Amino acid sequence: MTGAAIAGVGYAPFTRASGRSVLDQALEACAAAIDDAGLDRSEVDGIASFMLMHDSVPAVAVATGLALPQLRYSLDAQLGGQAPCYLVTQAAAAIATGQARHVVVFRAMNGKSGARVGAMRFPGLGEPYRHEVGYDAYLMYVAMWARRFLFETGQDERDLGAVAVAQRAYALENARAIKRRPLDLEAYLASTPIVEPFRADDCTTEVDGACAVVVTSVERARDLRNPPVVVAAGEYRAGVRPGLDIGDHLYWDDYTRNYTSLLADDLFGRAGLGRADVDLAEIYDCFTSTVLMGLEGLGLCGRGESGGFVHSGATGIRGALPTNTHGGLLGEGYLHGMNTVAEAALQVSGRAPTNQVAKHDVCVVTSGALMDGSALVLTSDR
Amino acid sequence: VVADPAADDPDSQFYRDGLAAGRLLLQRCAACDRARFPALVACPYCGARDASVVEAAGTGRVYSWVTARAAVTADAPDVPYAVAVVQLDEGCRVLGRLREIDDVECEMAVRVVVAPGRAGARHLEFVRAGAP
Repeated sequence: MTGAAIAGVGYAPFTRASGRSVLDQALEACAAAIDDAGLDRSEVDGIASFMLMHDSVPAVAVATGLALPQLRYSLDAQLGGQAPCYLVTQAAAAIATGQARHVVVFRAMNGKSGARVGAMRFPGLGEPYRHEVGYDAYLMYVAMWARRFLFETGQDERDLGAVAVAQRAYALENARAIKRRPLDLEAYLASTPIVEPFRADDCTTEVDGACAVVVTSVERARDLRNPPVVVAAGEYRAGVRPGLDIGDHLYWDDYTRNYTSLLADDLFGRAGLGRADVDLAEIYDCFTSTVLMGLEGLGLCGRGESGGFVHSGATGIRGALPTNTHGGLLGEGYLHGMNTVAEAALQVSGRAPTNQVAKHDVCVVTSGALMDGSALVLTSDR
Repeated sequence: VVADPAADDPDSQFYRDGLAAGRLLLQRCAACDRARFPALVACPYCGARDASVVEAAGTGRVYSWVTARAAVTADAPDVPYAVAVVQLDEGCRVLGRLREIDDVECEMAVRVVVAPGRAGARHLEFVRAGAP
């Protein structure tokens, strides 16, 4: 990946009941990102987004609502949390190949008051096997992997809890975060069991809202308002036998290693950077276990060491590897990982309104939880 | 209105017919001899399309499991209940209910039972090996 950068970030407010259409919120976030970059709307010629089960609006609707003169690049992906880093990678490729100059990547959803991803039945060839035994929710699939992961790596519920506690500390400082009540390990262990091994505090908070970033060339970004956030590398990976649909993992061999294990070497190799160069991480966290699996899968800590790593304070704001500095999807809210990319961009450009980490030249970002997913290395303009 | 690719799927009809008759049926690849599940029109290990349908021995081990304590889907069954992924002795994995939800462990040996399930259908249940 050469020559692309994130130049702007925008949001529509995260709420539990927006009372607004998804398109209304999508337009607000996209317009905010374009304004943040210092671009005129007429310069935007690409839009990419993702949705599950028609829970959002297509790129053309946003182009229409923003009164764009034309689209030269448009992508509506039927994907879930795997998508955000992947779509930024696709936008960067579109820019590198001259298909477009300024691409807005967004996710918009009434994810709490409308169609809730967490309670969706995903039609597919694997669905009948799940439905017949009441195994119908994404959180159950991640819980299934978490149980095996903890078993094989010799970790336990306290290691999941460490993630919830560490990220809540960030959320307390983040005005956008939905979860603003203090949490310690004792309170975590006392919280409501949902689908064991997960408790309520292991689970993301569904929200209504929207989030967008603007991708352009590094050269163009240098002329715009913010310090360029360089897309140093982007990778997508689905491992062997990724299954029959988004919820089917019966053909996947190893529930203790997700896509992060598979793409990490290529990701860092293409960025020309090593794990020791990483200043901070924004790891997709629909549930606590995916942070542990991501830290280990990316090689940011050793196998079976992620829980201890988080317990030690390493992922806190003064730790060796600040992680999920917005409080994550656990704390800020489930904008399906688009907000994870946006937080990474704000951090790398040194513009995070709260929880700005001191050293922020290299950030690794992930999107996705299980068989497939994507990741970025974002760097300052060096 | 959303298309359901699984509705009346011809490739998995043998499985549904087997379940209705109280049997767990798998496919075995004619080329590489691997057993596979869920039903699939081609072998995911080698790509060959020829396969035979075989009845599972009905023994295996718990690979992982979850216990639903709260209803997390709109039409969720009564909680609590536990769902396991069991690795069959044939080498492939199946999804089913654990008949007992306490004292479960990864690698626990189980046998597979075809039992009455939702809405008059049948589903797989797992019983601890040696239990009645």
